Order: sequence, then C-alpha cells, then structure tokens
Amino acid sequence: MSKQPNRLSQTVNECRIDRTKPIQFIFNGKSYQGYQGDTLASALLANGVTLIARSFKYHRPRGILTADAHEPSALVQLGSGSKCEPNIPATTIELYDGLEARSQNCWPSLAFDVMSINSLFSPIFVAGFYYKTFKWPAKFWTNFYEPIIRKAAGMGELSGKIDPDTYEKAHDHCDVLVIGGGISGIMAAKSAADSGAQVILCDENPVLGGQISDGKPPLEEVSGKGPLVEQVETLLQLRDMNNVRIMPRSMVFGWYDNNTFGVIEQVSDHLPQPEKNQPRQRMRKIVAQQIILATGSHERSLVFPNNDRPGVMLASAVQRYIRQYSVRPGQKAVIFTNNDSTKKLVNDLNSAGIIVSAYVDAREDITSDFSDIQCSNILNGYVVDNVHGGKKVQAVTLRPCNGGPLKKIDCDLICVSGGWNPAVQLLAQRGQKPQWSENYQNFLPQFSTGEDFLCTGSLAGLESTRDCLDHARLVGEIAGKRISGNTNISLEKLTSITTTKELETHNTGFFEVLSDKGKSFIDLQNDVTRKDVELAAREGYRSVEHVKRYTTLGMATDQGKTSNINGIATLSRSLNKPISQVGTTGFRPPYRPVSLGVLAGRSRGKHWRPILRTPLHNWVYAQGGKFIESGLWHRSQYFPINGETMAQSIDREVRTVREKVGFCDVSTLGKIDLQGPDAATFLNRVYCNGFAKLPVGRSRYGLMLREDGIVFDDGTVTRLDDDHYFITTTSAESCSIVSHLEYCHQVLWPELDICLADVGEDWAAIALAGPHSRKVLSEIVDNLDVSNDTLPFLKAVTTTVLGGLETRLFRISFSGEMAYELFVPSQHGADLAKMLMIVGEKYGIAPYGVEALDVLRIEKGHVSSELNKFTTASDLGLGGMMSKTKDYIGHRLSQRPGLIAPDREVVVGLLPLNPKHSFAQGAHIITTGTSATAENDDGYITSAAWSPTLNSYIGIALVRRGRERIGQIVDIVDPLNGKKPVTAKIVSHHFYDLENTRVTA
Amino acid sequence: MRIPCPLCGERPLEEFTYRGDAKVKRPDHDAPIEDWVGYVYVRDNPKGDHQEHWRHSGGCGSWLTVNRNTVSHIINSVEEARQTEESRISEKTQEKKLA
Ligand SMILES: [Zn+2]
Repeated sequence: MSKQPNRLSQTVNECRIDRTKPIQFIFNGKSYQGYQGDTLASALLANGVTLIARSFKYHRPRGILTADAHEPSALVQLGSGSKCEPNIPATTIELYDGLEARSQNCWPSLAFDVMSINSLFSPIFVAGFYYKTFKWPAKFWTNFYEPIIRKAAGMGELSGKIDPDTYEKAHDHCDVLVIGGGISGIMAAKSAADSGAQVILCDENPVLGGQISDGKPPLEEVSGKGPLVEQVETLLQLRDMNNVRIMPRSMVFGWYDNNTFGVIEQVSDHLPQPEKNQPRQRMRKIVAQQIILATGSHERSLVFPNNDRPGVMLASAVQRYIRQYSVRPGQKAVIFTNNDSTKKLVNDLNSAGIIVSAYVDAREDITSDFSDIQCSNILNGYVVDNVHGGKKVQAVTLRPCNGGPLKKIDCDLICVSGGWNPAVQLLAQRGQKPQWSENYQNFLPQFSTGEDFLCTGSLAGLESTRDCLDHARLVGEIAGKRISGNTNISLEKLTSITTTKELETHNTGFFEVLSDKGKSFIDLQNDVTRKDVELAAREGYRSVEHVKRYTTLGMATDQGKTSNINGIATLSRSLNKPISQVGTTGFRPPYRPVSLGVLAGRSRGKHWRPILRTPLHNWVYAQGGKFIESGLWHRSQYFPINGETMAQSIDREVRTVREKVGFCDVSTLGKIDLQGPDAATFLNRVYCNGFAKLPVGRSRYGLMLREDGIVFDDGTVTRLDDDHYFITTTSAESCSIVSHLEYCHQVLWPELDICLADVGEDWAAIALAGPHSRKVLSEIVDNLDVSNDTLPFLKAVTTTVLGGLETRLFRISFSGEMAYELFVPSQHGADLAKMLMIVGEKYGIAPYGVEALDVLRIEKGHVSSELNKFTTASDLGLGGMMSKTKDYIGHRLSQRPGLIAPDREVVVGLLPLNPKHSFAQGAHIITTGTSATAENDDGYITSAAWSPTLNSYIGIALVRRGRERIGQIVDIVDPLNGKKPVTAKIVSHHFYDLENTRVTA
Repeated sequence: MRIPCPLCGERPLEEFTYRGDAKVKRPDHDAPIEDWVGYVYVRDNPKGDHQEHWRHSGGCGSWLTVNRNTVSHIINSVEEARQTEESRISEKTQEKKLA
C-alpha cells in the first residue's frame, strides 16, 4: 500500500479532505490510498503519480493541467463493466472506496505506447489532416484508413452494455437563480435573499467557494475581518435561510428561452453505490425570473515548446492542490507567468516545501513590484524556451526576450499562468458576442446586465475579492428589488464599478513563445499546436469559426476553456489582425458534457412512453388472452385455449365468428361527442361523404380526408339526437382527429355553434358479431325489440342492458357478419364481457382478439392498413363516397391530376394459385416472368392473412391499374426476406359475402 | 420556451404542439387551384415576427394564435385562435357592409 508520499501535513486552508477517512482506489491496476474529499487527480498527485494519459493524436504522455472540470489532459476511463465511462476528467472524479480508473489512448501500456510513433509521423497529422490525407482512393476508407484512425485516435471506449444506473428529472422555479457559488455568487445570493426573494444557488463543485483559496489576483490575507472571513460568514448565514436553496454538484449546462435552465445534479457519482432509490444524476429544469451570473473565470495556459509534459500545471491548480488538498504536485518548481495572480503562489510553494527555482515573468516593461515575492531567482523579461523530459518535466531552458544567453534550470513542476478568461459560455449561448478587452486581455460579456440578468464577480472582469464582494452585494440587491416589482432601478453604480476597474487595469498581451524547439500545444485535448493554427492561416483560413473546424481547435470535450484564447491570439498574429477583430467562436449547450442517460431520465425501456390499457384489460388477462402493442395501447391479440398455437387460436376465433358468435374489445376506438345546432353542417365539412341527411337513430360510415386530398381516417358517425352526434375514429388516429376537429372548429369555422369533446376514455366498446349475435343480444337487453325490423343494419339506439346499464347500441359490422357495437361506461366494460360469456355459452360464444378481427375484415375486404397516408378515397375503392355537391376538407386537392391519374395503385385482392403459399405485408407485385426490380414494381401487399373461411392465404394489395387487371396472374416477390416468389391471381378485395346478405340478416 | 396560454397561464413548451403560419387562410371552394396549392403547401419562412398556430395539447386543448419572433423566440402576444378568427370574420362582414 502506498503511503501518499506527496501528501503534506495538515495546512491551514485544508478544506477538501478528511484525513480520518482513508479511501482505497485502483488506478491502472495498482492500488493506492487517498482521503475522503480527494478528487482522483489530487489523490494521484498525493501518491506521486503524474503520468495519467496519452494524448489523442500523438499519444504523448500527459499529466494533470488543472484542478477543474474542464481538464484537457487527465482524461480517464472510469469504472468497469456496464458502469464503465470514458473521457472523464480525473479532476472531477470524487474519490470513493473501490474506485477503479485507467488510462486512455495507450496501447499496450501507459508507459510504453506503440502509437506514440504517431509523433514521428506528425507531418501527416497537421491541420486538416482528415481532409487532406485520406481523400483517395475512396475504397481505402472502409478497409484501411478508418480502422487505423479509429485505433490510433480513439478516445475512451464505451462498454456497449445497457447503462445500469437510474436517472431522473425534476422541475423547479425560483425568483432569483444564482449561477456559480464562488465568493461573488455567495454574496449575491445572500443579498438577494435578504430582500425576501426565493433564491437557488447552483455550483458545479461539491463544495462552494470557487477560487476562494486560489489566490486569484490579488487576494487579501485572511486576517481580522478580511473578505475571506466575511465570505465564510455569509455562506453560513445563507445555509440557514428558508428562502435559499443551495445546490452543489449542480452544473448549469444550458440557458434556454424564457429563462429556462438545464441543470445536471450529480447525485451519487461520488458514492461507491447509490443509496436505495437514489438516482445517479438528476436533470433539473429551473425557471427563474432574475438571473445572477457569477460563473467566474478560467485560468489559461501559455504556449511554449513541450508545454504538455506531465508536470506543467496551471498556477492556480498548483495552489489549490497545495491549499485545499495538502498535496505537493512536485519538488522543484518554476513559475512562468504574464500577470500578478501568481505572486502569492510562491508562499504556498515555499510552505509546502517545494523549492522555487525561478519566477519567470514574460513581461519586459514591468511596473509590478516583486519585492514581496519570496524567491531569490526572479527573471522578468524571460520566457520558457523549451521543456526537457519526456514522461515528466526534468528541466526548462529560459531565454531572455531581448537576447542574451539561455539558462537551463532543473525542475519537475512548471506553474503556468497566461491570465484569466471570464466564463462567458452561458451568455454566448443566448447569442451574446463576447467583446475583447485590451485592458484585461480577455473576452468580457457583450452585455453584463439585461432586464432579467446581471453578471458579477470575475465574469464581469473584476479581479479583487473586495471589488467582487461589493459588486455582488449590489447585484443581489438589484435582483431582489426587481423581484419586488421595482423594474426601474439605475444600474449606474454597478457599471461604474466595472468600468473604473477596467480602466485601472493594464494586463499584458503575452500568449506564446515563438520557439521551434518542440511542439507547442494550444489545445491539449485535441493535440492542436501553434503550427497547426499558423498553417491554417497560411492556407487562407480567416474566420475563427473555420479555423476552429479545420484544426479542431477547441472542439474537444473541454470546448477549449483553457486553449481558445491562445488559439485566437496565434491566429491574430498570423493574420496580422487585432484579437478584437478576430473575435471568438460561439458556444452552444451543454457547457460541459452531459450523459445521455440523464437526458432520457426515467423514459427508458417500457417507461419511455405511457402504456394505455382498455377497461377490459384485466378481464382479458384473466381469460388467458395475449396482448399486442399497438401504438400506446396493449390490445388483446388472441385467446388461446387448450394449448393452442397462435395460428390455431386465430383460426378458431375466426370460425367462431363466422359460424356462431364472438365478441371483441374495441375500446381503443377514438370516441368524440359532438353537440350543437351546427353539428350536421360541421360533419358535412369534415367528412367527404354527406351527413346532412343522417336521421336520428342511424349510424353511417364516414371517410375523412386531409386538406391535400389524401385519406386521413375512417370511422362511424351516429346521430343520437337532433343536435347530438357520437363519432368513432380509428385507434391510431384518435388523438390527431380530436386535434384536427378542434382546429376545424376553432380556427376554420369559429362561427359554427358546436362543441366537441374527446370521450375516448369514458366508454368501453365491445363488438358482438356472428350469426347468433342477435340471440345473445336479446338475452342482455332490458327492454328492447332486437328484431331485424326494429333494429336493422346501421340502426342506433340508446338503451339499457343487464338491468339498467346505460348502453349505446349500434348495429355496425366490421367482420362481415351480423354484428353490434355496444358502448357502455368504462367501469362496466368488464361486467358486460363477463355477462356475454355467461349468456353466450349456449350459443358457443368466444372472445376474439385483433388478429382474428384483422382476418375477418381482410376476408370481408374492409380497408384498414390501406389507409397509409399515400392513398386517396378512390385508390381504396371508396371514390363513390366523395360528395360532388359540397365543400369539405380535402375536396379541391383530391381532384388534382396526380391524385386522379389512371395509373395509380389501387386496392385489389390477391389469391395465391397454391392456397398454401404464404406471403407477407410489404411484399411487392410484379408481372409474372419479369425480374424483381424497381422498374417492374407494380405495387405492394398491404394486408395478408391465412383465411380459415376460404382455406387459403389471401391478401389485399395496392396495384397499379389494379382494377383493370382483375383476373391476371402476377408474382408476389419478397427478396428482402429471402422468400421464393408466389404466383397469385388478382381478384376483387371483397373475398366474402359479396352480396352483403350476412350483415343485414 | 414558455407560452402564456390565455386560459392556463404561462406553461412550458412541452405542453404545446406547433402547427404553423396562422396567416394562411383557407380559400373559398371555387378559388383557383393555385390558391389551394398555396394554402396547403406554400409557406414563408420569415426571420422575425411570425403569427402562428399552436395547440395547448397537453393542457386545455385550445388552438392559439401566437405572435412569436423567430429569431429571439420572444412571444409578443397570445390569444385564442377562435377570437382571432371571429374578429377577422366580423371585420370582413363590416367591410362588406361598407362596400
Ligand atoms: Zn391552455
């Protein structure tokens, strides 16, 4: 067991780790110890592990650059098996017992990487290499280039298994949303909350405080009532306020319209196992009235030869590892900076026992005072000319900017600071174009205030803790006042703070060392070098957006948070154009990578959409019925008895209906109640057939078109009373029909006095069909003459059955037999089914499912799946229904030449010459003797079934000029399913009871 | 995006279904076929203000006339489509009476 050789004895600021809780973890198969509160990065550093990964393109050894979530180098593969997750920054992984991680991009091992030979071939990996190198010949792509590139340049690997974790979603609202829990965010939240506003404070880190102990420039000492103490006190008060919710580990990844925010909360990522019923992550959608952005700023690196070697770290990261985690990232350090934020780092290094070999400040004309720096070797006007060492920094060569001899200094740690970039990403998501500040040498928000948002802290450019606190307090007050209804508040005091500070500041624009002693990286994650950007400029790229895509600069998972500005600076120099004119690229959500699982939330597997069950569902289940998914519905498919196969059961159900009596759950039909004096006029306009003369007590089949002339839906309309109609639609279209009819009423014809309601869930529906159906019906009605004279085909009555059960009884047939549809209130659907089984027993009654229903309607020649959104009424053989005397939806465009052309595919029946030869829906029709090509395609099968009634396979098809071809022999081909062609005869699609005597019997 | 439904208040986008341009008007039955083709198939794609139909399908079910800026997504007004259409019809009858 390692002893954490680089863990310091407890320091004053140590706030992250709990030394009483040691934690064991495994990295690259080796066991290490860290403490509760460590990140994987801090624990590895404590154990002296500095080589973490291999780089993406050149497989160069990489260490840890940052202490932040946008770490570009130290990406690891986390976990194992189905929980395995690639490309996770070691800096974000909170240590837990048993954590397992390994390096990425290395083969066969991290220390000996075969692919690092890519470095030798780097000329072919220059900017745009994808576009240049692998162009030709085309077939090389699949066989040669792609497999090699995938192996050489892959990032981490996915497990390929189902994600075993759970995720959830939550919705939240607040008055003021504060984004960022650093000193400014905490102060702003407190001051907004003091006004009584409901406040949510989000921070992506497990603990609030931000850069609090990072010594961001220039941080006052912790003494007396200094800002740090003030800030800690504020935080403590904030925790006790009822109107404040603090959300740590919550990353705001997107800012959407109307101040809707996407936030990912890492609920149990830091635990060995989630607690019972705890999700791994939670996505919150937070809607806020006022937004305070305190997103802070990100330190950027500098560009110099071999600036990617393990041991090159951001200065603020070194400081945080020392202060917060009591970790010593090296033994001998060189600081390389262009600003004053690194001054206090020297004290931290000294106190950690790290020798400061040199303090290198690139600024020549320095006005800065170095007297307070405890370092004997201050070299201003120097730059790092080269870094020595392969898997670990061993020395640096320093070069005076104005000429002179080089200096070589031994060190194993280089602390770099290239300045600070305000985290403008969320603002840019809203369309802001960040503006270059010459004084600050960074991109500031284009607008730091708006009527619903206010920026504060270092995002607004502020550099001192005092300024941040004062500004944030004011920002919180303003937000609070705005919530109280005071919308006209002067922002003058706010802007005066930021403009004064900007005028006072004069940062130096130093970004890169122009030395060719080795690769100088701009984007460490995508391995983009200074030369790549220069080359892109030489090749004529001018726009920063194009250079980004051509070189892949800033396109890795860190989205260039540490690299973009340096890339823009290099481009600016190469184009000889100021940075303000080069501009910056846009930013889109997410701010940081988001797992797909949390976007799906609980909508996975069977939970991705609701299940609809009919009122008869449990009854069907108790009967041993099988279910089939049809849209959202679970419908009864068939009812096997005595060990029947599905086919046997369907055959028996069909024969039962044809010979005796059966009943089927048709509750999935859409049902719409329509009332009002203009109801008949309305129906006349939405159906293509006439409804003006439908008498009370009658049902009629209706066909609806879309306005483009294509068939939309079919169903029945029953006139219950003068002003009262009951409409049924197909199960599939019930929702869209309601929406369509509401549109017709509310938008097209608001003058019509009607009212319609979706009553689909209110009525259970049972189709009772077969030669004995009248006898069964007569046994359940209370007081109704069911004879053919009083209850003929298409007659409709409102009556009662089973001793007072309200029933709408329509004599309608889909099966081709004498049949009735009974609608009863939903809660009584199962009662009716049970009673039908009892009274029908002596007639041989049996329930039938949708499979038998389908066979029955195919035999009868009723269209159903033929309504496929390509067919017209006349394609379906229903052209005669279309009224010629009225305007209705779809009338005009149904008469377009294309929709009335004689060579359209129209509905016909197909009978195989050998009745035992089967074919499937989707198979195509060709003239016998021709080959199965698209040119010879004459149509396709829309319905197919084994007909126990005809003792043959039968089908319905849409065939070009089909009606003229009745009697012809064709081939049914199905090459996709590898089936042999079936020879069949084109017939009428009405296979059964052409005279329609059975339905009217 | 959030839409203030006149009947339900401000509700999130997920509750609404988009249809499209609210300014296209169903032609008279005997209008030239070109008018009908335009009504069904031809739409402008404006950058800026757009009057469009939405249905509060996950709420009250009303069809709404929404004035939305297609660039900023700012919603300038929402009313029930029935009211928009009724006032349009009454304007039309007024015009006819005057003429
Ligand atoms: Zn509504």
